[in-house]
Amino acid sequence: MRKIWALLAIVAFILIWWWLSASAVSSFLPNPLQSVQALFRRLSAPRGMSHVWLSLYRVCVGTFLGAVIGTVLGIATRYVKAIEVVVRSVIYPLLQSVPTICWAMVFIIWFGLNGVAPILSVMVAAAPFFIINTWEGMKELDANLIEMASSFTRSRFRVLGKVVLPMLYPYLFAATKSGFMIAWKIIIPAEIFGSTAGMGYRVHYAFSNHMIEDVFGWTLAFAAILIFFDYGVFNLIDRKFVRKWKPQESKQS
Amino acid sequence: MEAAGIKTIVVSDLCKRFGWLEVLSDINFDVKQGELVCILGPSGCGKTTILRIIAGLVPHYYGSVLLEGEDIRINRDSLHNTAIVFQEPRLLPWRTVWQNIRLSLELRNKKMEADDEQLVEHALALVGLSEFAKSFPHQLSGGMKQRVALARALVTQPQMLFMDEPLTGLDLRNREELQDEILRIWNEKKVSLLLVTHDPAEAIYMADRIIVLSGRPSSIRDIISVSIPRPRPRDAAETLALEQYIRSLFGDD
Ligand SMILES: Nc1ncnc2c1ncn2[C@@H]1O[C@H](COP(=O)(O)OP(=O)(O)OP(=O)(O)O)[C@@H](O)[C@H]1O
Ligand SMILES: [Mg+2]
Repeated sequence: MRKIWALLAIVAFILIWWWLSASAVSSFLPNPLQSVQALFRRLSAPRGMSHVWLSLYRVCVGTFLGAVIGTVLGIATRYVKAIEVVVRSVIYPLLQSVPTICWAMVFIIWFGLNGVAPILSVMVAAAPFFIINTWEGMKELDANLIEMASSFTRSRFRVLGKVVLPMLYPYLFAATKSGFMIAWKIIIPAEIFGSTAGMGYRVHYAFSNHMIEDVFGWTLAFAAILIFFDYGVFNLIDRKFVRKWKPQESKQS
Repeated sequence: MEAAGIKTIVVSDLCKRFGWLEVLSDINFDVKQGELVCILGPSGCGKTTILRIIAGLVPHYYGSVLLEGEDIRINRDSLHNTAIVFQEPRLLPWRTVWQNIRLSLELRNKKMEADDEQLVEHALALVGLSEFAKSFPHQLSGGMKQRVALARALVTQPQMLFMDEPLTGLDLRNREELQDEILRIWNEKKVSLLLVTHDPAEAIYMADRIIVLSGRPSSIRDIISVSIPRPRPRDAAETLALEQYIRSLFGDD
């Protein structure tokens, strides 16, 4: 029943869009079919798909770097007092409060237009999610389990690898999901400023040249990719693995 | 059994306070090779604390603990011959029974050896859970979880085994069954077993000697040698009289 309503809502959205585009202001609003056609024209052009793959690659690499840095910093706060102070009072507030677009500009000033800047921008946008989720997970960390592990070894490293990290997996998954979604939103402005290829560059190119159908086409592509990852990839992983990892009953024992 | 054997565990002048709270005062006792000693005392008297200190899990205390003649603060190697079973099973919810038992080996060794698999198999059989190797902790009953925790300790082939009220929270039948099982394993493995309990009947049924704690801060009221031959009757006049005497020791304060 819910699915039928959702389907109806989507159909209604498309119809209204169509109806609006058919009315007076139609030169500023291409209809859905025109937008999709424009998108496919662009994608089927020589090297058309390469822009999509490039943006996807940058998002993945940037999110991965953000994950490594965020997780390492997040975990280190638990073990090293100095790192905790620096991360809590400088790094995390800085990452949180500076608009990512400013980071993007800084990176372009430093690295130029060679494609490094968008990746680093994504990294900076994704890292705070990993820091905050790691902290959240650490709060829940079962001190009893850690004591149990410590009773078998003196190596904190092995306790980290066998017990602490696996306990954090569900939290890291949540961070990956939010980080990835933010990454998609930040890659576009980052590529507009700092790249000569990629989806952001293409949509900006279309905009500058008054190719309105193309702008709408690319916008649809962003939405489609985001929805695909959210419902397709992340939801599937969540159902298949993450929920099994932390069964409800585990709390009581 | 408690004839002049080698003293594997020697606790001298042990005092412990948590902040202003004085928990243990002047605790002296020893456990001989292959002996089964119970620490008996009312709830909150510091039994767990004693066990945690002996297992090397508490860094700050007064007095000394010798394991196999070595002070654990100076030479921690002898701790490798110990294993502890906690008050709660403390199993990792994302690992199967088999993997949970193997955890202690993974934490101890850097590399897994071929016969480690056999050790796990053997430990699993020892606690009678061979059919449940692939189950997850949340699929097990309380008693079965405690058996897994016991197997996880046994698989490291300890010479000294510490158990912290492993049977509280189980129903009477399960408890008596596991008591017999622990006795059987103790007999078979010839380990020195230090067992914490708050149940006088359990201590009388199991122990070669009973260390009775009480007071605030706790000190040793009496150390009772139990010479009733095993298997012991559970409610003979002899046991009941002993239980009466132990309860009178608690009543003092
Ligand atoms: N880490 C700690 N920090 C502060 N106080 C503690 C700590 N561990 C134990 N205590 C206190 O020490 C006392 C003894 O605790 P302990 O857990 O050793 O008792 P116990 O005999 O095992 O009790 P139970 O039978 O309920 O398990 C309690 O008053 C407890 O509040
Ligand atoms: Mg206790």
